[in-house]
Amino acid sequence: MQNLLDIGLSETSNAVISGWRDKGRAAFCLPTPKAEEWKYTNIKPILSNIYQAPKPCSENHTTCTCEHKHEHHLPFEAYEIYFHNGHLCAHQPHLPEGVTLLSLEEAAAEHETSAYLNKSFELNKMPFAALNTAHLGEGVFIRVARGIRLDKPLAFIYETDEDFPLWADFHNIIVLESETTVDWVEFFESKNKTLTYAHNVVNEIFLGKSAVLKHYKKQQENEKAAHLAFNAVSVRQNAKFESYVSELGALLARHETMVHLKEEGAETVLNAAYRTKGKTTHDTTANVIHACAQTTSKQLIKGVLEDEGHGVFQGKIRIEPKAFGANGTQLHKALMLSNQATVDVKPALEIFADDVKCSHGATSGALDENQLFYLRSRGIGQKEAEALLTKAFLDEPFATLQNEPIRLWLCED
Amino acid sequence: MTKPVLEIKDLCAKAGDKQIIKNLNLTIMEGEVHALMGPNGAGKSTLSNVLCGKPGYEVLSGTVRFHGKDLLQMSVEERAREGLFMIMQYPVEIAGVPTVNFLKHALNAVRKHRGEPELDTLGFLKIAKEEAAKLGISTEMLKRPVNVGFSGGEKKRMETWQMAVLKPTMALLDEADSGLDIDALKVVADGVNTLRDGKRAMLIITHYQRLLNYITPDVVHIFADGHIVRSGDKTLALALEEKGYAAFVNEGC
Amino acid sequence: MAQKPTIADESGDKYKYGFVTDIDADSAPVGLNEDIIRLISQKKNEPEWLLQRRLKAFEHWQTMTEPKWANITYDPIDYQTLSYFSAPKPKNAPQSLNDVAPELLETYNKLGIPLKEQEVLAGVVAVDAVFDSVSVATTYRAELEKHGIIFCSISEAVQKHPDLVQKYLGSVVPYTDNFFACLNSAVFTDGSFVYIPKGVRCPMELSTYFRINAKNTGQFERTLIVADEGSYVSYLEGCTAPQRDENQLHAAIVEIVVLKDAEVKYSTVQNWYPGDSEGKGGVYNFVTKRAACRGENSKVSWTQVETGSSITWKYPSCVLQGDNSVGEFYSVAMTNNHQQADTGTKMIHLGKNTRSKIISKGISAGRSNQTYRGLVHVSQTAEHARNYSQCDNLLIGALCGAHTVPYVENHNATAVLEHEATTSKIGDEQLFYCRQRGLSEEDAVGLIVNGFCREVMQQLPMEFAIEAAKLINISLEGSVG
Repeated sequence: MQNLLDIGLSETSNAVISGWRDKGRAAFCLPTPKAEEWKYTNIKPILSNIYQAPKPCSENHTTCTCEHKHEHHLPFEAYEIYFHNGHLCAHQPHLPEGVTLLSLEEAAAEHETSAYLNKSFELNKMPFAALNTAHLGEGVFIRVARGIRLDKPLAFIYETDEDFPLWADFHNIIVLESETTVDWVEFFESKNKTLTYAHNVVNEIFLGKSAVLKHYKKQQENEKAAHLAFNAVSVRQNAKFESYVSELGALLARHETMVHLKEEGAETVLNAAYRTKGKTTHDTTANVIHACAQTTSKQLIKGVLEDEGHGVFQGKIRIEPKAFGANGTQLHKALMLSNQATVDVKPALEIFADDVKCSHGATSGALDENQLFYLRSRGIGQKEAEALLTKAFLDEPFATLQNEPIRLWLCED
Repeated sequence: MTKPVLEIKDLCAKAGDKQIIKNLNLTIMEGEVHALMGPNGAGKSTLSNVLCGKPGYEVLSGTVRFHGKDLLQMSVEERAREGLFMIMQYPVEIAGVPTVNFLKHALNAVRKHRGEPELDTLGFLKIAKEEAAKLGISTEMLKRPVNVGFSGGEKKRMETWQMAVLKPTMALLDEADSGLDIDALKVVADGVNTLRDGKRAMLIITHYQRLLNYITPDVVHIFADGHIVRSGDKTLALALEEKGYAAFVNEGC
Repeated sequence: MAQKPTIADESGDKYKYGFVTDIDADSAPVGLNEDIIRLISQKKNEPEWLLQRRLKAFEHWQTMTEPKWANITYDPIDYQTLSYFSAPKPKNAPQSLNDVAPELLETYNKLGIPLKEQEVLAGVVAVDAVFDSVSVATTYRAELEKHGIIFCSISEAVQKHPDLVQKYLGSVVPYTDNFFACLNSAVFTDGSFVYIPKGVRCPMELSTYFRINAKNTGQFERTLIVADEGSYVSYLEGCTAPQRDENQLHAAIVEIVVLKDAEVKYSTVQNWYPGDSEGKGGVYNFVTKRAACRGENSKVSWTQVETGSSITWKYPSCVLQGDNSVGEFYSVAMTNNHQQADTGTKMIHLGKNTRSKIISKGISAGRSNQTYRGLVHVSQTAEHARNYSQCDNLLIGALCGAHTVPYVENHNATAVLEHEATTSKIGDEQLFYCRQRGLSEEDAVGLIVNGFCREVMQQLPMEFAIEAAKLINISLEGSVG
């Protein structure tokens, strides 16, 4: 088996980055099902390939200068930032004043990253974030200055069409200063269905007082890809992080979120829908830490299990001793459409304060026979009735979205 | 000679950060039924909560004596054991606790305080069922958890039943008529009237004159901006019904 | 009756079972090795096959390490400083109640467990009393024998019913199962054995009462219940231990085999010494309990009220093999002061139309921590399996912790699974309401807590339920205000 640390990465001349690469190498240890956090998600299926680092695409490879034509990917206007074949692309949107966009290397060189890079989690507890750090170099640094309300969403578009098994790591940092409002879109897609590759993305997000970040992610990697994503979010006083995720593709996908509600009034919403087909595994892992009083978290995760698909949900709500008045809810619902499918669910509560309200729920079941009958008695065919009910089931996590084009985009297959 | 049951002198109190009760004076003698009427937001509920000692309310100054004792020094349960009973506007639900168990505990605590022997289950049930029958409450309802799944009317009926069982020396009706239909209103009124025995005192806090059609008060007070602006006999309530609060409130200020 | 004054008498703590019985005991030397195991087996005059099983388990145990996954912390246990056998003298097991030492009868009377049949309400409960390592008395045997029911100590069953014991012992919990079960398989000393023949409804409750008395003695009892086709039994288990400054180890195994159309109800009120308010002393309770519903339409129901022990580690489980079999788990765990509990259940659905229900109520007070840890596993063969789980936690005070870690694994599309969990504290409004009606704060809390547990308490036989409610109120003492 390949050691994922050795994928033939090019050297870096940036001392900050090479320093982090060493720390990442030291912290990385391939997870096995013996580790509680990886009990249900076996990464073996993605390890049968020999992965390679992205090809250098210019002399000075801080950004990609290839002539790749970016088609318009999204059905709504956005400030589009492209990540192609493992590199951040040089063509970047014209952003309004007060919004800083730098490549990670530039940001590191200008010491912009020192307060943020790998500051929101522990490297040795997050194996793929450690690997990402060992491969550090690509990604963006974005800062939105105080009070700015961005008129269009920021969109990160990830695309891969290399003809070798590419292992692509990105490490992005998003800093929203106080009272900013930003919509942030992530879109993963691969047009070529036969390619094998891996995306390993870490986003570190810092929300200042009263900042609001709404995150919309659609993951449509191809069916041989590995998709490993980790969002670490720090939320300060009265700020809010909302995340709406649609996971549709990849052979193995893990979408992991850690939200640290650090100050009073901080809030988060983590909603997701996933659909497993073939022999895919979709893992949604969420870890919410209520560190302060009057913090709120809400989670609704729905999964449809088809074929030999495997769904995993691991959720943890931790209420720390001083978090009086904290309110955390978490609900996972699985719809089983195949007898070969499996779903494993582990919603945990860790509570160290008494004046709190916390609940979680998990359900698993098939489609409702009465509803199917009703639809069919009105003339709708079995398959169509199933599809209608399945879609209605999957749309619920996005039902409250006000932005109609984005809502439709997330709901669409 | 009749004695005072409740004597409120120059009471000032606040709910949260806001001062609501401002220099309130009120004396209720044995056997008297007083009605305290006031517009929404006058502080009526604050008064009943302060009298019962609900946490979150702070007395700034003044005194309240109950049967001559300093009421404000007593804990919530001591006030109840001394004989103060409040029919609450929105009784809270307590899942899993059958109403009979709950009230047996309450009655025995009160009896113990009065120096009376505690009742066993049979003795308690006898009293409980007698009182329930008078109010048209089924035995089945008594077994249900406290206030869980009851309609607004049923909740008030259960409150009245609790009062009948505990036999307080003073009843405090906090907007007992809110959300009740006429039949439920009569049940509450009948329950209260049955307990009028020439000794027991009552304070009826209400926005509308409606309940007073069924319980005739000896004294009516108009309460606005945290204190009593005018007092009179039962005709005052009727005048209020006719002219509205505005006329009296302005005059009082 | 000779009672040595003990630390318990002076400490002012409220554990009323904390006395020590001054009785001559026949104990094995301290330490654990093959010789000790041979000694235990020899003292109990065991057949060769059982000795061989013990030795095999011991060999395996030496390759194992203590599990670390539970949410509990304790100083390492030195297994070589414990004594693995303690029996009250005379060595010969009593042949009838008349032979039981009067000190022992008095001990059980103090615990409220009458061993003299005439003192019991005629024929309500039959009792097997286990004192340290051995069973000292079993009541109502004659009455039970009329129905063909076997209820005796496991040592006696090994001698008199070797076929049944050999067939079922270890068939539900193999010695390889886990560290503590493996240890028990090597060193278990006594426990109860129950066999209910085909079609028999046991006419009375069967009860085992466990008591750890001797110092530095581990208690490793083993219970085996076999319910043959169409039979029914309700079984009760109670436990206490003297108050000592050292921790005592208790590592038991309970195995239940339920055949076609049979039903077993197993109720536990666990009140081992919890340690004092500073967290000193108390019983380490590492228990493996498992029931196999082997036949169609079989049913097992676990009810537990856990108020004692400084550490509780137990997961009474159901393996639902037979089609239409049913598993239930009702639990109240109350922890106060420095107690730690990591408890829950496993429901393994293998057969078609199998159903399970989990109702778990946790109350944490003081500086205690407790975790509900449960597994619901539905295999691919378990068509139309159904599970409902509800786990509620109540926190009293700001220094305790309540954790919920359910695992739900579904491999069958026709299964319907529901899990709910909540955590809250006693509402100020509820407290105020009760106090306004004249209850003291402590009484109000007791009342609300008992209401919170009611669904579980209702599952207990009447006399047990009253006792359990009292225990919870005792455990709550000092948690309010």
